[in-house]
Amino acid sequence: MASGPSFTGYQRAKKTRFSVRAGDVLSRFFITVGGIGTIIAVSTVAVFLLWVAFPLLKPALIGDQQEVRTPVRTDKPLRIAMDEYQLSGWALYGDGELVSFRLDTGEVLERRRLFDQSVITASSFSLARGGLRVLLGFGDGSAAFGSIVYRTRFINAADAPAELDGMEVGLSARFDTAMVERISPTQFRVTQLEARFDEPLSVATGTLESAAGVKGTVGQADSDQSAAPADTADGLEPAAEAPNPVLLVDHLDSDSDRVFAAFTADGTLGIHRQRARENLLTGEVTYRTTSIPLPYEPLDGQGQPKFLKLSGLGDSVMLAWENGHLVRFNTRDFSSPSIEERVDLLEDSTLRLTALEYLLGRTTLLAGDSSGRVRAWFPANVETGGRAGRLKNRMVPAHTFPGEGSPVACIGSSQRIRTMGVGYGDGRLDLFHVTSHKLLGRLREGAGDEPVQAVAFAPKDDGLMALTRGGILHWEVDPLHPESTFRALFTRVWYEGAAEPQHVWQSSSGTDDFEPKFGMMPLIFGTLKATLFSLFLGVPIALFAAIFTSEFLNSTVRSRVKPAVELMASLPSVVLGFLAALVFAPVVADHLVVFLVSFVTIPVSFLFGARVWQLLPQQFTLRHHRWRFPSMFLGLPLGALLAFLLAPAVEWICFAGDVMRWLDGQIGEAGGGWLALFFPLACFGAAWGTSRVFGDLVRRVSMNWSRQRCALFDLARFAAVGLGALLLAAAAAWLASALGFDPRGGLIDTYVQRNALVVGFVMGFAIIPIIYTISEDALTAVPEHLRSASLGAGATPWQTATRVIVPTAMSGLFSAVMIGLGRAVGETMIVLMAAGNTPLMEWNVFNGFRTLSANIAVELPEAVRDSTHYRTLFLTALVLFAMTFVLNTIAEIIRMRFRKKAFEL
Amino acid sequence: MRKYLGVALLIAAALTMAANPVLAQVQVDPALPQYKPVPGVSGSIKSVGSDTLNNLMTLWTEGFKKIYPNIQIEIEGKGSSTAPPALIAGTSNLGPMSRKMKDKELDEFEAKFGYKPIALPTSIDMLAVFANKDNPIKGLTLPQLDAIFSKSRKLGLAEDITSWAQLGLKGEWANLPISLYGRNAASGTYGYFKEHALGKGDYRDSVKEQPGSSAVVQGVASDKGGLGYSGIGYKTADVIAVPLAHDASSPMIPATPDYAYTGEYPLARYLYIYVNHKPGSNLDPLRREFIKYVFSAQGQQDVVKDGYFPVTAKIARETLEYIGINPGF
Repeated sequence: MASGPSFTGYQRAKKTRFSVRAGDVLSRFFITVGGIGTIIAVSTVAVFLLWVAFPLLKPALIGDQQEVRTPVRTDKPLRIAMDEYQLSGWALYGDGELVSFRLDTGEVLERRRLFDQSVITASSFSLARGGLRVLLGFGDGSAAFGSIVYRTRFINAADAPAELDGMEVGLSARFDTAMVERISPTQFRVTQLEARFDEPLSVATGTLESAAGVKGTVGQADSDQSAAPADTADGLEPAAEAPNPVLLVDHLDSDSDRVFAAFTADGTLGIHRQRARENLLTGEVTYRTTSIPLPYEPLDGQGQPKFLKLSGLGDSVMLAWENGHLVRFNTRDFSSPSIEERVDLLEDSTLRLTALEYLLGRTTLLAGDSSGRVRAWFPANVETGGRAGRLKNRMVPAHTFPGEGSPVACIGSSQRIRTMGVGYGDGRLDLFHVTSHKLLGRLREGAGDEPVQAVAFAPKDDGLMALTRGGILHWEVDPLHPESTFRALFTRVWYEGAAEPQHVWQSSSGTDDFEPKFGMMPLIFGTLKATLFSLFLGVPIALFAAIFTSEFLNSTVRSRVKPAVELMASLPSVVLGFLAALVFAPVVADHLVVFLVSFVTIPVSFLFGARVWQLLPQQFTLRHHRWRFPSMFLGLPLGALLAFLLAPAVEWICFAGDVMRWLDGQIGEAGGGWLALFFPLACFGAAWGTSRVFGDLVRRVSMNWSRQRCALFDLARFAAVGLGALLLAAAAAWLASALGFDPRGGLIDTYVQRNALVVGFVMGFAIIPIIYTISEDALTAVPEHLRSASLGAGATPWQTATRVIVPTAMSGLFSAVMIGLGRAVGETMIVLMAAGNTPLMEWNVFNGFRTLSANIAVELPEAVRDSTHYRTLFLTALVLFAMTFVLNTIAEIIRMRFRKKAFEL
Repeated sequence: MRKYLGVALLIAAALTMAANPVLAQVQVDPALPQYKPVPGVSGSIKSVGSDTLNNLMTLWTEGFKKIYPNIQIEIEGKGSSTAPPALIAGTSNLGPMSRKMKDKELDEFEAKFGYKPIALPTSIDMLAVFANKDNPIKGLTLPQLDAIFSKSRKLGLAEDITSWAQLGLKGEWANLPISLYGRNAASGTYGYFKEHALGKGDYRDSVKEQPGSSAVVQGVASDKGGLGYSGIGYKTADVIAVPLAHDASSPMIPATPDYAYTGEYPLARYLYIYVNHKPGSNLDPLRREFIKYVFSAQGQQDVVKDGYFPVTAKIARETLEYIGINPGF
């Protein structure tokens, strides 16, 4: 910017125009904002996902221990419980006394003798809709059903007694024998304990032969009181006079069934079932009562059994002795009960069984012993040594919680989730989540000799109560997300009813006692499977198409082909998914072999067509070279036709005449399948091998041959390669099957209509346009002088493409594939609709899978906000995010390498 | 994407609706009154919940809108589990559910409002087990169903059932594996089937979870070896409803209305609408009239039209009284 007149005499405008400068500033501003904004947006998404998922790792919230040093009574209660607002609790004792007390002060609200003379010799408790159902057994051989429940009623302030007037909102007070809390300025809530028992029935006769038939009685179902048809069961006579105390009872109540079992001192064990069926029209309930005796055998030297348990469906009765011996009766078939198995729960003769309780759902037994160990047992279908493949229902010890020496004194299980509170002989109290093995918290340290007598969870699982000889203990507890530990999410977990630890995703169901299974591996596996299969089908087609259009087509055709392919990308994936699920999948299922054979015949027919074109006289091909490209379209129908014609033969040779049954493993040998699998590989191998070994020789020999002769030779070689490939594949197949390998069970297995092949094909369709268009751009962007130099040096177009253009454009091709991969990983709708959403972990091409993204789409709308399920779904989203992030980063690094190489050219 | 899902389900629903069968002639209880319009009804109905009830809700709201043209209606049906969160958050005023609320859901509702929501039994559904229309199967027992759909086999059969041959089918059917279709875990149908047909056992991983009832029927219709469960209302001519029996010694009960009413069909259930109603208070006119409409002759006629079974006048009367509406019949 020297001053003075310029050399040319032309005065250059000194200042850049304002509009240009403004535009400059503005665009710089917007680009900066846009760039930073994008980075912020992406990190905000990550932070948000983390924010929602992070609380999964938070430990359970346990409030301070509130201890009242006024004992209710010093002896061990049969059962304790508290009301859902955690204001009061009750304890039932062996002499029939029911004590209700305040939790905060320990003040006794009410003491009541439930039965005048009888001493309770056996008791069982079960949760039913509306409260705790109780079955008590007495010394005279009788038993009585009843319920001990808290009833809640609301009183308007206007109707309330005068003494409550001054009470503040949120405070509670004693109100006669109940507790009252002011919940709003206008309303009080009164919680009153109510115990009601039916007339005792005799169960001492045990055999109850007279009732063994089917008895039908009709009773009106009343919404409030359980319609107990006790008096209608013929076998249950009024109490017998011979003193034959009931030693053990257990019962269960469901909406439709009532089952109970009783064991008396003289060794009779019986099970009784009352089945109700409700008529939806009239609301009438019909009961059917059945009773059967069970074949009880005393255990030598062990005295009477100590525990009696009835499983959740009433299909097995378990009797356990103090040494850990347990007999399980199969009562599924009421007409012929049998002993299913005998197990030793402790597997250590020095220990004693001190507590046996059910976990929520009455399937998992929690066995506590004198060393302080708790083991969780449940029946599972396991393979026993006997006949191969024969599964037997056996108890398995799935979880073990080791002890610290002090014996287990009592076990309480939650009414909502699969947690248990374990009280020990030294006063220690631990809270465990059974499925995830997690110690949620030590509520109380062991101190001296004041054992925990009983422990109970609050009905809403937000508190815990325990009784010791010296007082009442109470905690407020929020378990938060006990189901999710790193181990539970990513490793195999032993779920209830399974024979071994497994990866399972089954997130929710309609009942509370469902055990949620948040094993994320099947979803990650499904995502990888979907991605791999779709890339396997999509990438070769897209890349070869890109090379072909950019290197071998003239620009006129190219300018039409490219937009046409890009138009494919505009198909919404939901439409593709819909077509895949409802049109494509059934067609493929009906013509599977045709479809598989066409994978070979269509490429072959194209190659064959190329050879035929070579054979044509040169004048003809030159004159009609415009038709060369359109004539290629004949290859597709030709290949399809060929596949259609060959399919029956292939099915006969390779798949024993019925591919579905062959895949299912019902018929046929492994060899045919290997042949079909190896043939495409062998084709590549043979083609590559011949050109490698004979390529130079052929070139030298054919130097002076006529064009016609070359073409003929080429055709012959093509046929020879095909034949060679067939022989090669046959040899490999023979070898593989001779060595005893079978493809079924691995990569191919039983055919399911919605499967990875269908999804891979359709999703390949979805990713082809992206990969194609980006790689085509990359290839076209290779400088023209490289191409010209290569062609000028005598290289054929094919040599130019494979040795010059493709290596130069490698970085672009690679990003194209990576972007396609990104799309495949995140693709939702096609997978959701066409993959069946089965959370399996098998590589089988012919069955489905469930991907992370489809899983989120299916389950997020249903998940309760801030529940474990909801947060776990966000965690799966985070995993998906991390997967794509890592993949893209790796891809970017590799791309940079390629690019550097390309620049060095 | 959710929009796409909606579109897809809509297409699927439309396809199924088009082929909706004329089920056995079900009569609406003649004691039910015709609905009579009242003045002063306005506002918007927002319903979030069961997919099983989706078509039925649409029919009801359409009928209701004909009477009161100036009300707004929005219906979302993705599964029963979506109903409680929406009711609690206040984003919906009706919560159709094909199962009862779980205790946990009741608790959450109660924690927010201080009282429990009210369940209105609006109609009766039979959960049908569908097979392809060409399938010659005569019937299935619940233990068989359990061995087919569940990996736990809680009902006690000794072996998994994976092929039609194990169910006694001959010829070409004997070679077919059973291809399983079911609903996604959000749906009440999923939970109901698990509880009542599988003894609360776990589903097998190979059950193809479909996002809607019609997708299940479509799947079975297009899959020769298919077997799936969903509400009877989604039955089309391309599938058959397999008769069911409690156990091997009980008779096979076909999925017809008579057996649903008597309670003999093992998988019959109520379909509910949950409402947020404070005990003792009066419902707003919009919901009051809508509920009256549902329990009127027209509303129950819609139930029949959709392939479900109407409730009796007795149930309708009790329900209306329970929620503080004068039934007037």
